[in-house]
Amino acid sequence: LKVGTIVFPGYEFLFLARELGVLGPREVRLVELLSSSDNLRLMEEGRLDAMTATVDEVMASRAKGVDLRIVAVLDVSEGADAVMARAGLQRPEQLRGRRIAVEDSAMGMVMLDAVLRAASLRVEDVIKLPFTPDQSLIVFQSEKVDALVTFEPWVSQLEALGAVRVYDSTQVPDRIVDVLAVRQDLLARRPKDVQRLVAAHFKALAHYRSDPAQASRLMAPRLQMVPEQVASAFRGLRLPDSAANRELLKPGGRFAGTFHQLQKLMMERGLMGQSVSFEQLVDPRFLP
Amino acid sequence: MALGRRPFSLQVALPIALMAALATALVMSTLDAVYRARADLLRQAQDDALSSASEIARSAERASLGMSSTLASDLTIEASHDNLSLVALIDPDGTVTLASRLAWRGEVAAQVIPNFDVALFQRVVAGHVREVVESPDGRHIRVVVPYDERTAEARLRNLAHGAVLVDLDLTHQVEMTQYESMRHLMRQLGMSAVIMLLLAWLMRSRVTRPLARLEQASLEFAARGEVRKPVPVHGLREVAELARNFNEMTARIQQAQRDLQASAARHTAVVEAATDGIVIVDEAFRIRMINPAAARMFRHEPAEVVGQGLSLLLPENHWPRTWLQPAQAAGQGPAAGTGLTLVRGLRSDGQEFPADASVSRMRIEGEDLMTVILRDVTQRQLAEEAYRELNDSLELRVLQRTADLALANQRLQAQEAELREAKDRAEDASRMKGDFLANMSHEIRTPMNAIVGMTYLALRSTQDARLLDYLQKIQQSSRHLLGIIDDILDFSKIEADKLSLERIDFSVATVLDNFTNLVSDRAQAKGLELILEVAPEVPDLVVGDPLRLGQVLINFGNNAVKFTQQGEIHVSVSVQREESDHVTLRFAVRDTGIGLTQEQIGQLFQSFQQADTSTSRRYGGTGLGLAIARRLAEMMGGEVGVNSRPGEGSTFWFTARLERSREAVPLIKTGSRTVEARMLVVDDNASARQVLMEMLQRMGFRAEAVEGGQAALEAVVQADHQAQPFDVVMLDYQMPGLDGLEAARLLRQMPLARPPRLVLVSGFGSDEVLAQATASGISVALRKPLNPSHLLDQLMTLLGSVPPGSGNAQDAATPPPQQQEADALPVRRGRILAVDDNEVNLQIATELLHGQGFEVDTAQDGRQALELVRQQPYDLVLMDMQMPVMDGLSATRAIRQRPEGARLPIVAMTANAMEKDRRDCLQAGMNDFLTKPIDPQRLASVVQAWVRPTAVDAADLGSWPAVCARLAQLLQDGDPDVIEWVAAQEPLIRQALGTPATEAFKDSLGRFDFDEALGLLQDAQRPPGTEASL
Repeated sequence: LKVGTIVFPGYEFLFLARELGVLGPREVRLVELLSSSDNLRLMEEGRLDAMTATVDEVMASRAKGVDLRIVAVLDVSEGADAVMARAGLQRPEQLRGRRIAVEDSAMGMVMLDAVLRAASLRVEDVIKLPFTPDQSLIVFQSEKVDALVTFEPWVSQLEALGAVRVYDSTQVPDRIVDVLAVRQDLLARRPKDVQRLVAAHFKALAHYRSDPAQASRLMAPRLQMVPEQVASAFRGLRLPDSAANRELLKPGGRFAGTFHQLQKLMMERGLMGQSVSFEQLVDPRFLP
Repeated sequence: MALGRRPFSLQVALPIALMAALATALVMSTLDAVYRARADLLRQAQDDALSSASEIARSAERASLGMSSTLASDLTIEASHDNLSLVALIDPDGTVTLASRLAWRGEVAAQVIPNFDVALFQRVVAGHVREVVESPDGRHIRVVVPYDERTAEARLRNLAHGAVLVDLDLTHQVEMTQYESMRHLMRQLGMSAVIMLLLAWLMRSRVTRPLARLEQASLEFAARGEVRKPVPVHGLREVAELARNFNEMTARIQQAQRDLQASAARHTAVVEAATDGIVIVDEAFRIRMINPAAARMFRHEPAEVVGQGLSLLLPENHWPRTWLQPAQAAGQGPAAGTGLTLVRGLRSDGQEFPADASVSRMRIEGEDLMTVILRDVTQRQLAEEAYRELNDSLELRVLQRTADLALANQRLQAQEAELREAKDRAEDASRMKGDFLANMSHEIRTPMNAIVGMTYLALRSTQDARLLDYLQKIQQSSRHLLGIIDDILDFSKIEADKLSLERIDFSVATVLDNFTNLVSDRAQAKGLELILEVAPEVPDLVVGDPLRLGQVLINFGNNAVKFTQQGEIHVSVSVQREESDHVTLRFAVRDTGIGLTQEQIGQLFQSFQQADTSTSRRYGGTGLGLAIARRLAEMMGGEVGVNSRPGEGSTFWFTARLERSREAVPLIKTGSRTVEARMLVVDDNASARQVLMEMLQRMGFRAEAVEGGQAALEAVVQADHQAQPFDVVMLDYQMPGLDGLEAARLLRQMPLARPPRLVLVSGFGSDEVLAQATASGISVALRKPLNPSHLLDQLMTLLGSVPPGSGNAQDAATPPPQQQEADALPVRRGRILAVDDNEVNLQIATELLHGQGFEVDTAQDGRQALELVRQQPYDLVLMDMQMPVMDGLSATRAIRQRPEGARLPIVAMTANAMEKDRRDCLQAGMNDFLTKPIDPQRLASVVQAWVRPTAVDAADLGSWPAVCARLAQLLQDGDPDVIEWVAAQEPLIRQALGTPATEAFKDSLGRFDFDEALGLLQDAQRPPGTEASL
């Protein structure tokens, strides 16, 4: 099972699982990519079997014909996604007329939409500059932009450089969700591997909670942090365990609401041509 | 076979062995496939890894030149490829620049990358070479490819090399391949197993079950000695064959057992039922078996004595000595016996009795046994004693009787001798009677001939009507008497075994000619049609007795005429059987007479029998004819027979097996001379019509036939109109309606483009008919039945002539133009006799010879010729071969037997140009040979060669035959001139006769004993072996 992933704290438990030996290379191979665009492209090209992504990325892939199913929620952004602005800009309202770098992704749109709503601004009121979040630091330092829509770990790094958190996902709870999505055909073909994959995540999560020090040591190199910093990376991220997942993913649950909202938004923005039903997107059977 | 003593059954072993072999093969092939697949995979993976590494290396080089900044992204995407487990970019210092694992960035490669081989890395970096390392298990490949790090530093120290490291993990693919191969293998194994099961089932049903049945049957057979029912013949061919053979074998064995049992039962029955006592003892003379008769004899129960010694029954002191030497005797054969010996038996009640014993020894299953057969002879001994007493008294009586008998015997022998003598005498008498009759034939016939001959002469020399009547009656009676005498004499000869058949070459045609000559007159007198039909394959020349053959045929013919009042007599000759050197001819004479009943037929051919006495009275005859015919036919290797029904006529036939003459030719020459001539046969009698037509066709003519005068006229007219006129029309004389003469007259009057030549065929030979025929414009009149040879002669002559009535009828009789040349030859005067039954031929010969200055006399047949030769001397005789009454050969022989004819030159004239004919002629005494039609030149030269001037006038006659002939003539006539003539010819005579004979001849002349001289001359002249039979 090839799982495409990018560097994001919510996703790192899979790597932790690998380091812990819970995920053998025979069952799951983690393909470390640099951007979610690469991730989506490889998924579209059929070179990946599963990926870690945001819900909107999953839905966008669905819209492009990749039949993905969400099998687990990895994290819920509660501050991990943020709009960071250079010093001086304190509130969302101050963003009017400013240059805002935003990834041309659903999640970027969602955050942008949220911050603009909060500031009662319209899209036309700001200057949108496309970028990819991995370049957050460079772009910020180039001073070509006034604000960036980005997420951890760059949020923390940008704060260290003096950027100001103007708006974050705590204001849109459960809106930004990272999930593990698997191709539908593999669910049928290799259910055991899928189960193992999902279980590995929760095991690693459990391990992190029980022995954060050791876990942090293992996770640090990938996050390019010193182990002491690792805990900070999870700021703003809620990490639901298996039980929470069940609660979240049940029909009519909170995730369902997010899904419908998101779908509506994406339809409006033309990011999706065709609606999908919640049942067709979510498959909680593999949760341990 | 560790499973125990019982080996695997075929049914199990064969499929298992096959399965094992197949499985091994499959596994081997699978292993091979896996190995190959892995090798392919490895090669492919290496290529992929190399190309990936190279791609990254290039990307890294570009990045180092600042051309692109997507290196990191490219690397991670590259790392997403299947199998690629690790991609790392390592700078010259050995630090990981980029890696598929973000965590390794900036780390020392040797520390983070598993199994990192620093030496290898150094080699790659230093030598700028690629390295490919394969893990020992073949599942991991590491490719290390160098790249140029063109950093700012690089400008100072030229080039620094980094390396791209790519790890490939093929575990999954290898396992997949293995998994697929295993699945494939399992499937194949499964299929093989199914096939094997099928095979096993087939083996079971076709081989092992039949074999098991066979096994069971053989076990049953071994246990019980029989098989209740035959094994079904089923399964594969060999197995079925085995079953069949087994069945056959068991059937045979069972049959043999039954036979054996039957045989044993028979033997037992024989032994049990034997009236003689039979006791079998072993070497120690212990009783093994005793039959009921013996038990009764000794008054023992059989069970009591078995196992006891023989002395219980036969006291040892009476045993013959031979019994005690068993071994040698027994060794000699399976059953060596001794003769009959008288022994004494002991009954259970102690009574002794005499018994005849015979002993036979036998060896059964290695044991010597002795069978003693005993017969109680108490009664016989008593009887013998009584006999002996009786014998003593009898002996005397017997002696007496024997003496009496010897006496009687002597008397009988004497009587027998007398009887034998009487029988011999009787037989002698009978033989003498036969001999007498046979010998008397000549004596009886000669006066009869004289009577007949004299009567004939007397008839010719008187005109007195009463005398003629007497003489005719004498002639009739004497002929009749002669016939009877001939029959009786012939029969006597046959009975006396005095008749022997000649073996000479003869012509069947001649025999048939004689037959027709003799029979046709009588047939014609009764108005009967005589038809002769000879099959084409009948050879003309055969070896046998023509006279006797003719006799049988004439007998049948005369009978047919005698018993037929109206209708026809049909004589046919055919070949019944062909052998290499013999031919069996069948002669049949069919009449339309009174016929015969079955009883009459049965009595025919018996001596002194006629159909019935009444016919005998009515038709006369001795009744010997058919008996003679039968005997003659039998002597000729044939048989006789008759097919008849009363009122429907009879067919008398006989066969004769005749030797083929060495130069046998068919009687009728077929196709040898094809003449393009059309013939029309006109006859109201169907048989005659048919026979004549076939005869003509065999001669090569195109013949048609019609059945009456009117039809003939129409046919002739039509043929003339169609420009295919008939060359010859053969008309029967007697026909209802328009008869032959009338038809001829009408034909002559017709205005035809080419009038046919007309031939009249008649049963009558009278002058009146011939005269009428000539008057009607008929060229030739022929007499029935037609002789093929004669007919051919006539037709050939006729076809060479111009038909009469066409204006110059005289030309036919005038000699051909060649005569002019013949005239130029020197003329020799003399008298020539031309003999031919054909008027035209005679005329031609006469004219030709007249032209050469000869006087010519003519004769119609041999007998006339003979007469003329006797009456006057001729210088030459031209003799036709085939003639009625007497043919040329017979006439020649007759002439040669006469004194005046011995030296007469005779030249044959014949249409038969065969060498055979020439030889026949010369054998008969002819001097030369002329073929018909006569060539004037040849005739002239032949005549010139043979005709000499008159002998008396010539001093030098030159030719001894002529001299001799003349001399004989003079002596015969008693002419005194002969003495002077002999003196003139003495040198020639001396040369011919030799000196002693000439002296004797002159001596006779001196004594005027002309008869003696003639005798001497003839003796000297007669060729050896031609004894004149006067």
